[in-house]
Amino acid sequence: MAKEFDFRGKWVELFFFILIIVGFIFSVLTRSTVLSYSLIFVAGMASGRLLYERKNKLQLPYYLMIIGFLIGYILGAFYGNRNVMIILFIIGSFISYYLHDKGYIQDISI
Amino acid sequence: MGEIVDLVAKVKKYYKPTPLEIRNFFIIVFVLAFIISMNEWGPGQEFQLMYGLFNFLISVIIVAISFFFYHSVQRIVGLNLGYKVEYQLWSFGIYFALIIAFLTTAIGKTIWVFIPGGILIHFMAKHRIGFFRYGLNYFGLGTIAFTGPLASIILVIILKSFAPLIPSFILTKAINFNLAFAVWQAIPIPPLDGSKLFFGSRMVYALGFTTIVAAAILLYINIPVWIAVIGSILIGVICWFLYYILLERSLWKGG
Repeated sequence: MAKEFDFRGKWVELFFFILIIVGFIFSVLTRSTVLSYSLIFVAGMASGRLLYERKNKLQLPYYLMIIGFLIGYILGAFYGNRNVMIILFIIGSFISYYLHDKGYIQDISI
Repeated sequence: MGEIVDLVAKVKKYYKPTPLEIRNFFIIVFVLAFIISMNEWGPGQEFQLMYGLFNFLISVIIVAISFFFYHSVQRIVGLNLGYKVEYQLWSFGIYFALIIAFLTTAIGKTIWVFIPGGILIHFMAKHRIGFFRYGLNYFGLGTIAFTGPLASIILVIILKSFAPLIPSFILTKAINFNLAFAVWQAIPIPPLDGSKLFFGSRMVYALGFTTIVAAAILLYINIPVWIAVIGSILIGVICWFLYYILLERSLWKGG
């Protein structure tokens, strides 16, 4: 008998895998260097926002998922320099985290 | 007459946005303007900075006027009901909209996603005296929120009425932006404005959402404005009735 998937115990692995696929698809579809760099920079900003939201809370699973997306994106990147993409992603994350942390961007509380 | 004097006094006293709201307004305007001008940075596939900046500036003006009108209506209706309305930014919505815009531009056709935030209401104790259901309530919040998409549709009707006076490329862009913005904001995903009415009253939401979507479709196609307005109201009422018959009635009976 097939074992039921333990979502509560393995959600990080699941989302890690899903985000690798999402990152890969995004990267493959973006057939332009400028758009590819722009997209990874904005994705970095979104991840910075996510990490800011997890400030003082459990962060490791979210780091893993973000790295999953980045791996997928880098694997599918046929246009542009992969090192530049990693740097842009990290810069985007830092900028976004800093802007949220200093209160320049204040978000809605749902 | 007294109510109008009262509302004017409230607007004078409470309309002024906070510095945070002004900052958020500029972020939203620049991002949405960038999205709607993404395909216009040069003739064809060519890139020309001045050409792109001109289109971006036009888009900034269109988005600024549209968004100002959208939120002003919400603010004034809120003050009339005794609530101070605040627009809050949803940065995930902004990032998501940009990612989708870049991705779809790469594919060939930019898809506009407008999910920049939603409203929050503050209770003004003195100004709520005498109102039925004195405190904060979902229906009040929903009513205020939904005047935003309605305002966008009304702005499109005004623009179409003054069509001969406005250059066609600006008019088309303004109409398309407002129609798309109205529909996106009416979607019931928190924190968008549609979600506020959805949680306030499903029946009113069914009427409001279908009317907005029908109005957006009918105003987009080239038919007289009055036919589009009457048609969208009729479609909204029919969908509202169908929703009640097919779904809501059984929910009231408990399944």
